[in-house]
Amino acid sequence: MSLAHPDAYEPASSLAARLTGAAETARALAADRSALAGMVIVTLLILAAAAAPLLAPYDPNAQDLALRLAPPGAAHWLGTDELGRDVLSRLLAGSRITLAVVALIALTVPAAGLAVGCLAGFAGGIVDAVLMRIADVFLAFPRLILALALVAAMGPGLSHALIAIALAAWPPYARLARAETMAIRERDFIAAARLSGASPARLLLLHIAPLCLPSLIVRASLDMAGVILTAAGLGFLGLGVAPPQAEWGAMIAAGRRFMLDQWWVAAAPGVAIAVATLGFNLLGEGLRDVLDPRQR
Amino acid sequence: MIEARDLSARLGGRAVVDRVSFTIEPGASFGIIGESGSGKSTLLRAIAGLVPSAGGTLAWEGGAMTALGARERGRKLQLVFQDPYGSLHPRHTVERALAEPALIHGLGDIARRVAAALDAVGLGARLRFRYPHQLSGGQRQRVAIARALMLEPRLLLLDEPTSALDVLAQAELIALLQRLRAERGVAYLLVSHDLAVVAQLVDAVAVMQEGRIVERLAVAALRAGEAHHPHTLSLIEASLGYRRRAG
Amino acid sequence: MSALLEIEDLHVSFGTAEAVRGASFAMGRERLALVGGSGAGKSLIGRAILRLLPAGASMTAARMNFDGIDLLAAGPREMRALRGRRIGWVLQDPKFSLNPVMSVGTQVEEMLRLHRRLDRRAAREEALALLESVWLREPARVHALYPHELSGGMGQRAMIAMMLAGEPDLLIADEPSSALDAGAALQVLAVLDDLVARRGMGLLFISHDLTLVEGFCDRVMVIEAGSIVESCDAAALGEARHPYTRRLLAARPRLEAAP
Repeated sequence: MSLAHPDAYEPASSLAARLTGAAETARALAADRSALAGMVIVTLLILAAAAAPLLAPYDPNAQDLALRLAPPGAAHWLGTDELGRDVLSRLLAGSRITLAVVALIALTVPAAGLAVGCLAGFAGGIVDAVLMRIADVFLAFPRLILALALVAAMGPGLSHALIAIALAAWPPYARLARAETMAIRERDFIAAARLSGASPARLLLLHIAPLCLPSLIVRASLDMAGVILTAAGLGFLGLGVAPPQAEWGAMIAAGRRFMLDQWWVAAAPGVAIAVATLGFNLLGEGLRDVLDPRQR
Repeated sequence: MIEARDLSARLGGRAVVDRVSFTIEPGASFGIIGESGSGKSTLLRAIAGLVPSAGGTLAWEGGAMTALGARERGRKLQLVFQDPYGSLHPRHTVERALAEPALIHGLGDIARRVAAALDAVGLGARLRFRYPHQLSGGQRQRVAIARALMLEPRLLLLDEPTSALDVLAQAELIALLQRLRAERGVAYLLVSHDLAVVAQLVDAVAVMQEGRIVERLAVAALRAGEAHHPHTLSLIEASLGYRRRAG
Repeated sequence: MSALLEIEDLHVSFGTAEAVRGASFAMGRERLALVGGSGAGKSLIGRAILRLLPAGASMTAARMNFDGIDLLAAGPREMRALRGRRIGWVLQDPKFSLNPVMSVGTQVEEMLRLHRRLDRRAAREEALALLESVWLREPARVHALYPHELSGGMGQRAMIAMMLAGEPDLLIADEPSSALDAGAALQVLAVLDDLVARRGMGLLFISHDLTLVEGFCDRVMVIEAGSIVESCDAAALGEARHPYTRRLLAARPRLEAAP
């Protein structure tokens, strides 16, 4: 089954070949129902966050004390919170925070982990030992505890929360990249590149690192669910953004007091967190099914 | 052109290549035959510098091979690996894989060189942007040979190049290798367990057993079965195929 | 010769691409070779018989009988009872078909206890006997070894021993010697030769090497691009007329002949 492609279509350029490959991956991903659901959820999250100012029916910080704790209805689809602020609008505003956290972590942490892991796996010896021991230190702490400690030391605020989450999240990527690098570096095509005169830097950047990407991408998608929860957890404890800025975790904390009678105040952000987490999980699993077997 | 004297190599503590000596003149072709585990693949890798040698000398045109850096060595000799599935980067197109040696050495006119290399191994230019998983085993092996020829080496090391191919692809590859040698005058050092394949491509062979060379003979003698060492004789016997027991 | 295996009009497809087109043949307790280039569909036929096709493959057939049992109608439990017990399967590379975390002896015993319901002591004795019957010297030592500690030829013979544990009537060997060097390949073939003759099993030998099977099998079928293009006695291969067969015959280099 090695000749999976009929001669009918022959890519005419390197770009065409890459696009065809990407299109096939997308098609395989879409064929998987749960992965498709995940993609849809994540896409909606991105759209909601991007268009939040346009979509929100009210100003998220506008208080209307006369209408405080109003149940969901025609005027306020998800009701109002204890200060009369529209829950839906705050939910949309909060999605921006969540998405900002996810995007910033997803763009920086796997890249940092990849760099450290590839270097450790390729160099071996003392470099490997030192880098991995550093990773072990950060890995030893439960993520939320480490984030708490760091935020407590640095003070509350979104940027501090981000740094805390990032520092706790990078070691697994480094380990993953290191393991992949150690396996790849023994393969014949690396030997062939060496024989062609490739320098170690070239080998790492152009030959080895690209092969580590699929498993890191999968890991990142699955990880984002945990990142969302950690960020919400920090917000819940009041260590994330400062009030009155809307943030899902902080909204749950505020809504705790009214959970029995005015359930919507805490339930809306709770469900939002659950759905967002689910979306990333489904997407991550779908990506794993699609990306991993290809490598073999 | 290349001379090895008492070359040794170790793998995981064991002496896999044990004081091997041979000489190859420019344009000549030399075969090394032996069973799996006899050390012949490791010998090739040691010559290519992929495995450190544990003793002995390797000389290229009189000078020590170690004096040449990895880059220079790549212009003198190249290696074609046994497993066509493993010797090409899975995420690089054929074009990219062939361009790599030229890019590293700063050779210009890449597109033309790649097209010429593909042509030399009998692959059409339309395969240029395929990925390895879109090629058959025989095609991959041809790409590997094309890549090895990009830097125009004087010596081509071939590690069981046809073992992973079916009988038809093997015949085609043998024909290709014969043609390339005639056209380019490149020397071959071919390693294989298949005597019939080796006999098609080289003029002289050395027989390796457990890391040592136990006999050297010309191919004509090999074909005629005129060998002296018992191991050689058993290899010749095995290559004649299976004779079924009566009844 | 009564038919042990009867296949009629077998088709295997991957979506719209047909990999096996209308294969039909019958075999008894004889050695039948199925020969073709890679991608010709020969492995798929073996897998279709065992109903172990890869994901994405679908098959249809007019008839597929093994010793009177209708393989098409058999349910999963029936097929499991057949596989290993009545139909054995030897693959090309023992590295991929032997469990890497269990010793050889344990794997052979597992087959024995599964298919012949032997108790532990009887299974161990029988396992040692099986390892000896495939000409593995020092069976007790090999019994304790792990697959990665075996050479290719030894691993392949261990695989054969495992497959014989169920005392099958039919053995499907898919390129059993292709990954081995000439000496080990001959040993594996000799073992197969001996066992098939002694136990009166049928052997379906799948290979890409026509000259190899010429000396080993009774009858030969040649398959090209999914269709069986020639079927004859091994002794009559020299007079084969189909161009693909002639190509396969000519392709194998011979040591005695100058290029």
